[in-house]
Amino acid sequence: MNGNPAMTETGREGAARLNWRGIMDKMGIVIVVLIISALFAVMDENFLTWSNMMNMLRQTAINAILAAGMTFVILTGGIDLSVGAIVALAGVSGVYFSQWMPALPAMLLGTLVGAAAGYVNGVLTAKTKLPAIIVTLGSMTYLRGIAYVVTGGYPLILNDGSFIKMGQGYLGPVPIPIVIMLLVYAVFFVILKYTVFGRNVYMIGGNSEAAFLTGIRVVPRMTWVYTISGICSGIAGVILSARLLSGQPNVGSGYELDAIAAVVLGGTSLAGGMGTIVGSLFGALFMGTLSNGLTLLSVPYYWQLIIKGIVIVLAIYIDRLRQRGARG
Amino acid sequence: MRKSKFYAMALVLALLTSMLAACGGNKEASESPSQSASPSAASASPSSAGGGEKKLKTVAMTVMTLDNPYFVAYKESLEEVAKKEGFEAITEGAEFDLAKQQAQIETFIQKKVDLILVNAVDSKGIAGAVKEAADAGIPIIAVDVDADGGVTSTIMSDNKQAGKLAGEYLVKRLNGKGNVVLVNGNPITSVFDRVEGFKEAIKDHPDIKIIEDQNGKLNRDDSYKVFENILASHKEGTIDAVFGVNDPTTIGAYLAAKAANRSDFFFVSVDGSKDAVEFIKKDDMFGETSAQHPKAQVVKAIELAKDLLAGKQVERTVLIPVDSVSKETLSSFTPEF
Repeated sequence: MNGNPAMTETGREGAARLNWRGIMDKMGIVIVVLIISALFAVMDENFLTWSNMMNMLRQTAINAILAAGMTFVILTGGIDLSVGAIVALAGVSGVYFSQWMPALPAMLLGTLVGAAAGYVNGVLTAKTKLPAIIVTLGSMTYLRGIAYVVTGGYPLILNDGSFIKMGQGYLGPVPIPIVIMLLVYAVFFVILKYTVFGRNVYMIGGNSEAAFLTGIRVVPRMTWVYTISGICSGIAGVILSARLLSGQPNVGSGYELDAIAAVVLGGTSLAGGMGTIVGSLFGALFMGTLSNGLTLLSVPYYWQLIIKGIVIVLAIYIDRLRQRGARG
Repeated sequence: MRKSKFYAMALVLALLTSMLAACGGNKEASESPSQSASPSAASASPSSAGGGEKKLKTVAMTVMTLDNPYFVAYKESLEEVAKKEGFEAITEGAEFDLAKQQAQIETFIQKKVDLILVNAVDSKGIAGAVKEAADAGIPIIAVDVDADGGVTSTIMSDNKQAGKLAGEYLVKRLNGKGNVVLVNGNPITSVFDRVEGFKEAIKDHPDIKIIEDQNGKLNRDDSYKVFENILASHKEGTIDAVFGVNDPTTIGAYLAAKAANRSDFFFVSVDGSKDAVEFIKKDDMFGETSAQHPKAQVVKAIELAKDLLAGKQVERTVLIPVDSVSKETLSSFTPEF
């Protein structure tokens, strides 16, 4: 199955003959999200209100945006452990720049810092052929260190009103983080599905040797993939700092695992080559719904951890079954 | 193979359903049947509930972490008071993650709880979430550390006094002369106040010098490692006393000293935890801990909340006194956590 250029065709074929397999492959997580939402709606009157839905989506936005970038990385068979640290560094940088300039350039620079961090990850991974898990484990540590050095360990307070809007404002009735989340997904959906670059990402993940032999320039492609993850982390970091009214150097630890979990829950194979970006959005939604609903139902905190942990293990288990299924 | 995948999906759902039923079931029974009938109607007017009532039904609290017994004591105290007074208590841990704490407060708001207690991960950064609660008309009281954004009230230990008591004990035992290591903590007001109180107590004794100031991150593990490094760079006889800003910190440092066979100094601390009291009992090297009373803080918070609901004015800041616990005062003290 891996490395077959026909791989990219499965999307259209699957849609054509709409059978149970196809639905489970593409839509499994959507169904799970719907069922669990229905459960929560029945069990708690506050769940299915407009304000709670907006609240839940806004909380999910950060993880969802990280998962969008992580999808590209995992599709190539890689992993990016540094996204949480990039969130912290980009947030801190954005707030830092906002002391000297208007909100928009400050936010863009913050995102750019994220992109730069991702670019370095990409170059190191693609050129040195070191395992991505090692490269990004390293950058996860040094980027966090830089965030601490920049701030001296203290949070930087954000005072710029239009910057704060990025996290706390609304576009009509919809919180801005949700709007940005949807924009990010729209853009990356198109890139992944309708561009040569997107198709190359799948092929590299399927079999990078074969991809190289068919003439794909693997190194620049990989560099871009990690840069995209960096951009997403940068955007998430800027939004988060606006939400928290401060650049927090210690924020975001563990976010990489949430993002990876969202991607895998969304049906992307950790081995690369298989998956969709829309799945990741629903994977993030699933985790957000779970957190929100469990708290609304007053499930004791320690139990919430147990439930979430089990869900993540089960997600990996499903991933295994999917891979075996595809082979057989 | 496809079948087994479907089976796995079904398993996830079955597990979740049963867990939700098991966990949420006990008290759901009392409130949801009448309300769950019209979830769509509820979406029309989300702010209608809880208007004219003058009784605490649900109190939600978020603490910075639940891996320190001190904060578990908040949880248990709240549950105890809740049982006695007949309201529902929810406690969540934020694992030192400000974003997580903000999300927890937002969900409490959606749940329309009657009172929120916040033990802020970051006093300034939490302002946004505090404001959201205030805007939603939910009283929000800070416990243990202050919080910006318009909390109704702040209830905390007199942390300055805690640092001061530790400092006074240290001055007395050192006879006004010696080198002191400060194992500091994360930048939160309670830690600042303790260090300030401590420095105040030693300031009239110029022969007492702080020779190291390092962050043990308020937990045993990091403090252990930090203190190992301090020991490596300060040979036997160059340290006379150590101040750790809370018990996990001091105990971590104490255990590192024990492991390195160093006994040329003593420790003072803040918290009054069971563990620290045990060490004070057994070993002269663990000198003092200034005991906090989390239970008194929670009881006071609920008192204030009731006053608020009755339309009374409440104090902006309430300081709960601390006690110095050392070998001499040990017999009259029972640790709360």
